[in-house]
Amino acid sequence: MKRLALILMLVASVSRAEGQWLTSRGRIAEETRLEVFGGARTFGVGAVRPNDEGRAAWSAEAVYAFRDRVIELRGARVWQFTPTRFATASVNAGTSMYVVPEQFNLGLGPNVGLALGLGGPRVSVDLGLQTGLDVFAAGAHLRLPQRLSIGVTVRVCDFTISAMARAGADIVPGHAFVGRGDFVLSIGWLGLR
Amino acid sequence: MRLLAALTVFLSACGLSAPTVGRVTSPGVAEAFFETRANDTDVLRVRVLFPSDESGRPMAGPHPAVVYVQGGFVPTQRYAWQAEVLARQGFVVAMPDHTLDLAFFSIENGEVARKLLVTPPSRSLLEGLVDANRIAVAGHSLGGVVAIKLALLKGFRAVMVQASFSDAADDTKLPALGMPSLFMAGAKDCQATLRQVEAGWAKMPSPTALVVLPGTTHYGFTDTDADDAVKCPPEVAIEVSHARIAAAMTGFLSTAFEGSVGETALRAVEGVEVSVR
Repeated sequence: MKRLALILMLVASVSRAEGQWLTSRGRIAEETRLEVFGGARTFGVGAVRPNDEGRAAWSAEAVYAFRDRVIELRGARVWQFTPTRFATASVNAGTSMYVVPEQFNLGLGPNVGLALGLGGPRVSVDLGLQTGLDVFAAGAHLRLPQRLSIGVTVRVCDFTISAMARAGADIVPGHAFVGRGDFVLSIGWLGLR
Repeated sequence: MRLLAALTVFLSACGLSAPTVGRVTSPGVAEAFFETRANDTDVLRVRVLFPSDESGRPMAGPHPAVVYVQGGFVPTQRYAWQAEVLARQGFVVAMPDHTLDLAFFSIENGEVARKLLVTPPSRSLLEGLVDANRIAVAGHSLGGVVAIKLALLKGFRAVMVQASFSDAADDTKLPALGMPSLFMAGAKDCQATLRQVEAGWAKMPSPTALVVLPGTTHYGFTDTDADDAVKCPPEVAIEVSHARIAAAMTGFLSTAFEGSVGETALRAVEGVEVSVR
């Protein structure tokens, strides 16, 4: 078990993953959240804008995978389907797009996620499940990313600090699976009124 | 949108590494690092060793080739000695990286490396260097398991398995392998024991050969067997193991692409036990 945990941690630090980061949280904040994040292979910016009731939100992320030299754009709608309490759950549906510049290859696909947030407005732990389908223009390749995620977010005044990790696999029809993982640290700002 | 277009154009200038000359690592052998795409979005780095002149330029091809898959948590650099031996004998050797040095997480990187050898970037040193019909796959330990999986994809013409055996999930596919195979086992291996390797070899279809290396341990196939020193000490000097492994590989490859296991050459390797069927 220890060895498995070590492997997952190490994978998280050196591999890649897809899907939204900012909506893999159970609780939707009442304020618009702007966030910058970075990890071992990617960095990016994103925003989550809630509706007036604070029970649904739009999110957008722009990410650059600097080791793989791929641009990723992600957008999603997220709905919090439980009251805001210690255990808060949300579901999200969105799209990811990949641009592979030197090949002029383009990938696009839908994804959905389920997140459970445990904690309060100051400190929360979020667990998530993500699944999706990516289709790439070059060769019409398909892959189905499947991920488990975990994150910790601490809020101080209008700022948040988060550590988020996820691991899983891309299921590629007709081919062997590809192990995936990612880890990012992020700083968010909720001061936009 | 304009920003994305500009960024795409800018980044497209950052092409994948496709060297035209290598770094000489020993007389007659040079090394170069290539990048290629795997799984649409991933940059895969492939270490390539090849027969070269003294300036690191490749000797005119086409040459036979070997794609080598590393063992679990063992960097490709630790198998460079094998690649050097083969390159000196006229082979091009490609060693793809794997996430975490665990080939299990990206099994088909070896197939991507084969495709790099067969359809290399234009004007790179690999252009015209490899004979597409004479490419073998090899692997040590976990890499051996993956090498068999890669061989089952049908792009390779021979397979060499070191201190390893097939995944039980592949057992039903093995009868249709359709190529010569060589298994190598260290008699003092505590991780892939001789009994396990023999049992794995028994599942392989003909033509196949098993070479047992007396006194050799699991890491005797890498650059050092120091990892075995405490729990599983070797009984021969690693130089002896290396010489036997090198002779067995080159003996097998001498006829593997013609469809046989090089039995005569294998039986000429000093100090090893050879079984052929």
